[in-house]
Amino acid sequence: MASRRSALTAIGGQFRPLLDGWGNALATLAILVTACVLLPGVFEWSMLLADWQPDAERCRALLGTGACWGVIVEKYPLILFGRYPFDQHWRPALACGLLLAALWLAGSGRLRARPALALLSGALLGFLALLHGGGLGLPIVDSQLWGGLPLTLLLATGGMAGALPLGILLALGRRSELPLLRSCCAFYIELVRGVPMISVLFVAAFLFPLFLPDRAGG
Amino acid sequence: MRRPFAEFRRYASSRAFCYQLLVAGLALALVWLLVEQTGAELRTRGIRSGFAFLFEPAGFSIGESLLDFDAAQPYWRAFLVGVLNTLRVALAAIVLATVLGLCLGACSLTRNVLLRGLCRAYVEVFRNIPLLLQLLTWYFLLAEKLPSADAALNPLPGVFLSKSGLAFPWGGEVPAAGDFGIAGGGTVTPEFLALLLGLSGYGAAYLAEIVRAGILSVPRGQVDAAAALGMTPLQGLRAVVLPQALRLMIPPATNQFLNLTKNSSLAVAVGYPDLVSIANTSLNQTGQAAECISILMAVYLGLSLLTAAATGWYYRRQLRRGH
Repeated sequence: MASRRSALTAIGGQFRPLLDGWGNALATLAILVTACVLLPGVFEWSMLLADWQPDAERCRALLGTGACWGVIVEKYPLILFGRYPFDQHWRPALACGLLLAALWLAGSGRLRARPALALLSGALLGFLALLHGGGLGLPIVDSQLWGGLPLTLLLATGGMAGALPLGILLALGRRSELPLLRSCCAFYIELVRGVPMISVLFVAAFLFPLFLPDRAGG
Repeated sequence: MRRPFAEFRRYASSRAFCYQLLVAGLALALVWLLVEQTGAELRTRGIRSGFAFLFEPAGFSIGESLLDFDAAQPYWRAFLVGVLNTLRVALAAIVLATVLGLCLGACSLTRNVLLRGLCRAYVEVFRNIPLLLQLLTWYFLLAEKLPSADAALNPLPGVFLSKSGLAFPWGGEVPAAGDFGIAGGGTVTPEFLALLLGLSGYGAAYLAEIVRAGILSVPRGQVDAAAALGMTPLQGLRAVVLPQALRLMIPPATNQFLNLTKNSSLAVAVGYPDLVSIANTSLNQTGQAAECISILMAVYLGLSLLTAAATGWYYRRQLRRGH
């Protein structure tokens, strides 16, 4: 009897943080009521009334009432890999898997710094080789056709790999005893930090073609 | 024993001088090269340079503006409209994000598991989805899913929400539904609304974490001391915890406000005529990329430095008051 009561108290105690005090109980009630109002609709739209077949006719009939997951079923290769040639899709998939595995292994703390760095550089090179092809009987795929998830991973990993050493150099430069070097670093840091990303992209898109002498074919 | 660096030290100052000369020389050479190259390229393409174009008629109209603007007015006025639009949405989003962020941050520290879980989930979801995607989602919801103006939603008296935007009482005038949509009062476009909601929803998630970190960084003993003095938890929060937490929250919050202002440049994705959008249009019309981009950068840089200076002043004042 005593043990059962203590078990009941323990269960009741679980709910105490939800219900002691008026404000607290009211918040709990409000959240529960909102959930009861919203969730059935979401469930109905995404599950009960949804269609999983890639069928445009049926999807049009469902418009506004149920989800049309068939679009995802049919288009997921395009969403994941962009315009990369369809029969070669295993290459970006394998490259993404390798890069993610390398990132996970390097970040897991099992490797020392140098092996981790070597692994990551190797993975990035392998990634590029796999995507570009040209050896081992793999047809060359022009980088204009790369897209989707592999491009996101490549830009993110490459961006971080370039940003960290440059950031360390700039931080050291800003702490330098040489006034000119210090002010150059401070100028760069404040300038780049203070302008939005999109204006830097504008510079890349509109001004780089002007900086560079005769573009090939331009 | 020989001191290997004695030699180096004697020459250190002249070495430092040489290094600096080298750095300065390289920087100047790079700048000179870029200017020369760009100038030559501009001449061969027949693009003129200089800021004279600012005083010529812009030739495009702007969807929404705080000033009167039409296509016959000069470019500098178009840029001014862009700056004002950027400031308008950034300031509104900063206020909204701060309020929402404070609530979320405070709620993620309550004992109520449901409320806490909900706030934590909000923070994780909104922090980890790219802002661009959130903006496009808001714009899609507002521009596609809302009823048209003749069947506008009327959640509160005098407030109308439809595909044409949000109408609300302003300047002593209350909007009313007429035959041709809603008339009177203040209105904001769906583009503005999408940008405002996206920026403040995204900023609030980061601010919530800053608030949570600020409150948690006040030692537990301070809370106990307030309780020992007989203060209620709310009094303790107001008089003991928040003044100390606020001081720690100001620097990261400043950073967040700066980020929010810069992120408002994503407005170009939902068609809100902010500075980037105006600069982009002007650039395409005149071809004077260097000038348009330098105006763009100068304005954002000025805004950033101004915000940094203002919050720095406030921070130092808070520090003085703390002692």
